[in-house]
Amino acid sequence: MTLGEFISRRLFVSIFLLLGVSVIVFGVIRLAPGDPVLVVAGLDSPPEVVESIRKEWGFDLPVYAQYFRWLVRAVRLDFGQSLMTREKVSEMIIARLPASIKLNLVAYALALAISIPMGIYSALKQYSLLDHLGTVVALVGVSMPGFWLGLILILYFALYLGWFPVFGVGTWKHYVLPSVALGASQAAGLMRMTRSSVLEAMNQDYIRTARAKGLAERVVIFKHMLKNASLPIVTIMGMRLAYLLSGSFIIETIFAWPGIGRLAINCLYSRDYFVVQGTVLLTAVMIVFANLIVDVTYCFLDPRIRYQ
Amino acid sequence: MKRSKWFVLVVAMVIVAMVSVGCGQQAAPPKTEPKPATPPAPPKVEAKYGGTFIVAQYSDITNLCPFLSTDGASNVVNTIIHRPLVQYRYNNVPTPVMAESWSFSPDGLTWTFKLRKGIKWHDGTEFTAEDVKFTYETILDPKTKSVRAADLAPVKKIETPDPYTVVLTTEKPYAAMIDKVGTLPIVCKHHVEKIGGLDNYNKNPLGTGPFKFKERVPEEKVVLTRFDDYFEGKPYLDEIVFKAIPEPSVRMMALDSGEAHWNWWAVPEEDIPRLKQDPKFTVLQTLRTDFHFFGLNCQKPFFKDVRVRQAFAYATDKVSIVKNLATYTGVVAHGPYSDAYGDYVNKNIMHFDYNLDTARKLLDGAGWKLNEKTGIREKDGKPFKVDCMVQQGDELRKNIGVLIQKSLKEIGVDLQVREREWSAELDALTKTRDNWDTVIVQFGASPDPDHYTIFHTKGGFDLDNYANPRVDELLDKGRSVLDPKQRKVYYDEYQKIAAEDVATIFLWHSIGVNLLNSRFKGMTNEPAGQAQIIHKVWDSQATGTK
Repeated sequence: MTLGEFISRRLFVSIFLLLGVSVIVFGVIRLAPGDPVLVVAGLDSPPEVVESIRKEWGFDLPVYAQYFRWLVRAVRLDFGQSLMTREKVSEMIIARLPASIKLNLVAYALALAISIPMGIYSALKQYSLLDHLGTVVALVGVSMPGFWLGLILILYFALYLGWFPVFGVGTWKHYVLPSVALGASQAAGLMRMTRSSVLEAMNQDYIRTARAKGLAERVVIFKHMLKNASLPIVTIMGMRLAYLLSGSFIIETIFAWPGIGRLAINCLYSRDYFVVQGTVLLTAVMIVFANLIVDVTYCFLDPRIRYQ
Repeated sequence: MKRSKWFVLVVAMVIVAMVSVGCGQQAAPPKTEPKPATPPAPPKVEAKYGGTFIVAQYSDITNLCPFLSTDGASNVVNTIIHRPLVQYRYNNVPTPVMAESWSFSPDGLTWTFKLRKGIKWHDGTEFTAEDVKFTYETILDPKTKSVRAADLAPVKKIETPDPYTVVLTTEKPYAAMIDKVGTLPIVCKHHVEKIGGLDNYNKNPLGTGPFKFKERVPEEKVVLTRFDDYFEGKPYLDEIVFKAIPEPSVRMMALDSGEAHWNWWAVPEEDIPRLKQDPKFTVLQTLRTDFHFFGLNCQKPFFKDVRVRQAFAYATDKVSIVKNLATYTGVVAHGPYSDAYGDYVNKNIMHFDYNLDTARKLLDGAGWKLNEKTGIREKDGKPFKVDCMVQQGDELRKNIGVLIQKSLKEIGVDLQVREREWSAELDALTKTRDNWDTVIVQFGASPDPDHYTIFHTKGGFDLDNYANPRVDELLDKGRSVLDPKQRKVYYDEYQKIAAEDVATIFLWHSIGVNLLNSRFKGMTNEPAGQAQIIHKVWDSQATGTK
């Protein structure tokens, strides 16, 4: 199978995957207690006003009819209108997506920049002081809730020291604290994985052979060992990307970051069905593509991998 | 050996560090009451022009069309961009704004509003009666899906005999006309038509308010700039920026750092003493018209007996609840009206002062006998167990529930506090109605004493599923006479019955707390909201002149 055929097949399967996601998100949000029309209408609206709003939005139709009506539009990238703002869901998402992507990319780059070198160093200097320190830091990083870390960072570095802004966007300084809060737990997990993977590769015969041939240690590590150790790391990077996207919802709320995460949370509480469906579907699409990129990357990292 | 030694050393260092931080001296909250303040009379200072005022909001706005939004964040911005005919200002007094005056016919069926001349829209064109008519008709149009349609429903005819007169005709006298209709913000007819309808209004709002719309970045900010031709006088500030900061502690930190200047939402109770002593801040406290309550579902068999409801009322220690949980943000309530309602408050209604003995006697009389083994009362073999619904994540209401739970246990009632997400709670209160026993929640009432929507069986909300034909009759009459003295007679009796029947145990009336950076002057206590007088706020660090 060629790479092109592999990608085509995965894209075809992804359609059914996304269809399944759409059914699940459509069904689950409607199973949650609470009437979206009541939330929109407010506590003291008379029943006739509530029913009139329900009919205008199509919530009086059977659930399956509502789903197909929404699906037909979604295929044309029309995800409907927000119940609260009356804006088009697609426009709302497009307006907020760049902010989320930027924050996630910076956090991810930061996590990789810290975790990969530290993981390699820890593996190469196993049982050293820095290795143990790295283990403890990783444990703390994985255990620490992102929202707590975010608030602590704001308190010390923004309020007490005044080095960075407390919230919002605008300059490069606005990126520092939220990306540290978001990337910290990712860096911790990636570091541990990198360390394990490198340790396993270090004990392989081909590494002993490379050393026995008299190759420089730098060449042994970066040319021979890393390439083979990178497969599990790439897998974890793909999985971590999904966690990153979901974790950014909370960080965006803490730091008042204008991304789709905050939009999704606000709309979930206000039962703004169409916005929630749109953002969840978009997140699913991004994760599917991220995993596809990971799988394709395997081919380049390890020519032995064949897709039958 | 080497490995173990280093590992143990590192782990030990981390443990010592954590213990040090954990045992470190924390800044203790002040235990003494703030010293009574006797501020000197402020010197006469000339207000300055200029400056940017940053408002910390709890959420992004949802809609800049004033009759399509229901959330507080949007309403604050909309109140500044748009103006209505009347506003409740200066301690809840109906004050002519875009209307110069109003009157009604002797039969109470025709209201005439005379409009001010020379009011300009933000695009420079003149505001006329046609804009008022257009606004009201748009709200009434079912396609608009406006929740304010119910407020206008009693109005059957809207006429504009000349460009500065609006005549509204109703089938029955509508006492809440000023509160429900007069305070509706007006939108510009030709502007809405020009932009192709209300669906595009969110990006293009236009009003007659002191500040006009400049830009909006979704989830981040809304920026308004001064409208120099504002009809009540040129505002002082150059710009107002609304920033959405959902996390309450981050909002407070933003004010502390000076990155925001005004927080009008949910200032933490425990911070208020410190903030009042901090010269960096001005703390405004305003008595509101809302009430926090402990509601008893009158559909439940055990609450159909008024003795049981009264027992619950006697077992609820409101004074202690307010003292512990709302020292600075509440005053004890005995009825539905706070003192912000002025003359409408009936001071001679029944009070249920905390008295467990009376509560026990009432329950005994109602047939609920104490089981000495379990400590829980029983009737017909059923134990007296009830749940108390509170909003998920709301620590204040949960704490109220815990205090009430403790008191009720002493009279043999087992109350369990259960959290429910807001949408589910709303559903239970207004739709399903039978899947809850008691609830702790807050209700925001408007300045007009008409509580039809809240307590009338046909009002839509019908708080606590309470059904009393006499109360229905009084609420019907109260909203259909225009003479305040006659209305007071009806509402006095309504308050008396509501207090005695006690389907709703009123806990406290809110004191709204606004936190303002003290460099900004001119903001006064306004029960209906400071956004109405934002044109009077000025920056003492500004240097501009008129």
